[in-house]
Amino acid sequence: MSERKDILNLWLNNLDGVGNKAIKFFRDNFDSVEEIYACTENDIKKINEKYKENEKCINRVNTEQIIINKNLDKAKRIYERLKKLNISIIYPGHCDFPDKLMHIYDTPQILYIKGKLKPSINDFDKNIAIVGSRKADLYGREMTELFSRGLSGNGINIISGLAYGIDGIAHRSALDAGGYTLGVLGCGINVVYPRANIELYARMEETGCIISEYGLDVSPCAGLFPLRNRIISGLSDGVLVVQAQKKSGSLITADYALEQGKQVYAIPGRLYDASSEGSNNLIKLGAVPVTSVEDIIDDLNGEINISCINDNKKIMENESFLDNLEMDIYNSMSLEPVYIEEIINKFKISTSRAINILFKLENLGLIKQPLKGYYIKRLY
Amino acid sequence: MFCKINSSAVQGVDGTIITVEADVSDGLPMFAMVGYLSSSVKEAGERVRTSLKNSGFHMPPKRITINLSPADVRKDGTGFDLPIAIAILLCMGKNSKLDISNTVIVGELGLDGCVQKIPGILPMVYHAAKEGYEVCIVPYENKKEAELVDGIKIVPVKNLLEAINYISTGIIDIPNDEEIKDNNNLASVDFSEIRGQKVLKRGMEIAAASMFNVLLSGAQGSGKSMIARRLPTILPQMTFDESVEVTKIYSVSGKLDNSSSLIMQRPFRAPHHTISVKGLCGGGSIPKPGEVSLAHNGVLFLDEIAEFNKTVLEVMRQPMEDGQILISRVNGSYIFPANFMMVAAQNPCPCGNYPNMKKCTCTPNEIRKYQNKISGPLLDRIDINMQVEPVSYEDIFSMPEGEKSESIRYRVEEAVEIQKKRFADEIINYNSQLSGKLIKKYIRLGDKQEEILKKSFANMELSARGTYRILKIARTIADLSHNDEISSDNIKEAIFYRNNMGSVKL
Repeated sequence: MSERKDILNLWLNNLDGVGNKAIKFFRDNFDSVEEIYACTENDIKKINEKYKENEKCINRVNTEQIIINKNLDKAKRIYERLKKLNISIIYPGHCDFPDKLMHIYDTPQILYIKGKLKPSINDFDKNIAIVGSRKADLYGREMTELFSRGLSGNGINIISGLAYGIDGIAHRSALDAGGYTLGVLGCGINVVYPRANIELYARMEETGCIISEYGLDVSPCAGLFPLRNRIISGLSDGVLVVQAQKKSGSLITADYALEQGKQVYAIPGRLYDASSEGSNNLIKLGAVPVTSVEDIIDDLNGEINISCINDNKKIMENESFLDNLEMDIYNSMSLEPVYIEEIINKFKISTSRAINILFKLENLGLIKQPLKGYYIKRLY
Repeated sequence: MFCKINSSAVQGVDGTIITVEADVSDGLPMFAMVGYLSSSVKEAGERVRTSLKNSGFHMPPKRITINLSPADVRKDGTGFDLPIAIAILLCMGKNSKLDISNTVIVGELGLDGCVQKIPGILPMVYHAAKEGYEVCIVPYENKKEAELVDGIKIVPVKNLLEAINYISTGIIDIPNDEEIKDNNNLASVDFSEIRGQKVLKRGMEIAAASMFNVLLSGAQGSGKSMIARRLPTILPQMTFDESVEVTKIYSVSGKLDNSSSLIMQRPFRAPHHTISVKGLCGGGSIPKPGEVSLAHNGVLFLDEIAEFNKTVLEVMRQPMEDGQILISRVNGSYIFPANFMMVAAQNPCPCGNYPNMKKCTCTPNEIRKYQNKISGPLLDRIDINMQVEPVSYEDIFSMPEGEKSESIRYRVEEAVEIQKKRFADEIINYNSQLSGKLIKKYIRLGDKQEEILKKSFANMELSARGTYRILKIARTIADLSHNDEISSDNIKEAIFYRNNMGSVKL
């Protein structure tokens, strides 16, 4: 029976010229998808009479397609392909369909799913969307990793858009921290875009989840990406904007979040720093500035699992292994990358000694190399 | 009357003996040349006839046939003019006092009868000596080059008359050598000019000590080209055999100037990035050595490697592995040596500012595309990766002068000596040439070092080849400090230099 339901939903969502609004209208006026499939011209007429003076009248084309095109062959073919690709579908009325999405404007009428959609994402779990620039600088990257790891460690699900930059880092860090993460695509469910994230896709399918409202083979086009942002914010309890330029797609997500009554958090950047202009503007407009993972968890009224955030203890333990010089070098580091040459000159040590000390510190997890030869302090 | 003279030609980088046969007989006057000749050889007829006339010889109206054998080898070049002219004269009754069956004659003729220099003298003479010939008549301008070969008498001639004189009388008047300046010592640049950049210099020292391949990446103006161009000044001296190999290649390509004898300085080739596949690898219907061969035993510097045509770069993969390149053409296969050290320089992105995102104007995709231009397999063959950071203002003016090339070179030479001793029983000279089997034989790690490598293997997602490269680099670092055992510090330093963190993670 559910197979029939799936096929009918695929039919409904794959009719030419029938969009989300039309489908929603039908869903509102019919009890089930079977009834929509069975509807005739007379039924439409009746409904039209009901709304007579109302602007909500259905567009002629849409009704025509639903009345005329009762051929299920295409839907069946899609169903078979989805089964082969291990993709499931949910739709309003389906038991797994997130309730959160029912309350947003322009509810997606079908969602294709790869991986495992955690049922708890619906109700008692907290979800945070981490969004930001595709072209993040080192600060943005580090912050994303810090927050994504910290939040995941506290059992908060991370939602993002699987794009370059902040999105990808948010997903990766959440996976690394053993958390649950969900990615919303702006293209067909079986399309990997950007191509370079293919390894991330595989990891997400295994332990996280990828969803899209676009069916098979829909190629990525600029118009679709802002639209999927409403699903990202819709699924979350709050949106964290890490680093956004003046005109950034992440600001669209923040807008949706406000529209949907969700909290917007932003990580402050430096003034006059073009890569943080958008996020700073958000703070000016009333977004919650956050400087630590606790800020968000507090705001969500969650319990803080200190051990996940605070690595200080570990570092303290390590410090006993460090001699004075190593300690000095470690203390001289910050989030601003230092080139190895500077360390050599500052501490007046030989190249091989410097390489040695930095190797040790890196192995202890105290510092890291974002780029060869450049070192920063590790925050997590 | 019939006459036979030995001459020589070059195939690939090796000489081969060609016999010039001439026959003058009665019949309708004509001049015919046979023997699978290229057009430059066919034109020899005109040059020979005119230069004979202008040297005061009268060409009889007879039927003259010239054959160059073996007839199945395609002959190219202009070195057959002189032997043809002499063969004709001998046929016409000029008598020879000497037995010329043990003499090899090469040289190009001008219309006035002067003998001009030709490329490839060194391999020709080298081959002739090896084959047991005793005398070699060469153009005077090629004298220096020819004299590099031991065990064969060199008779340099300036014109046809001198050559004929020598053959008929056995006397040759060789003028005293004019003092020829040895301009092999062209070290006008020095490492001490580079301020700061200690990490980079140390990396270059390691690379020079074992001829490791190097990739330098950094913003424009950070000194990538500067340091690469100073690399030859710290490379070890070439051995005599290496010098001969290099000189042979340069001789074949006609790149030796009159004055130069043996090339002592390691070659440094920096082809422009518009170079074609044939320019890099060698080619042409009669293949000539390309840049990879001209850089044999030296440095091939590829500045702006990302701007090179991708197919051009990929063809280097095989020669980098084998140390030679095989070029096959219709008329035969040629092997050119190509054992070079590659030094490549690149910007991190099209605008050059990545990872400084505030300055970088490229999209993530552009950066990826730019960095992906060097394919994985090629990247894998690079031993030492270095990021070059622009020098700060203080460094330019306040830093003391760096170490002189000479003292770096001294350390390098010592490390090379140690390697030579180690590989006395093998055919290789440097740690960089170690194969998997030999690594197991010559490189052993202590437990502690093994542990470090093991940990890094997991952390850095190394490949087997990557691990081997680390071992080779560590061995060289140990050699530089005269350590018999590879220490933990050595292996850490090797890991630092090998690790390629320059790639973007988006």
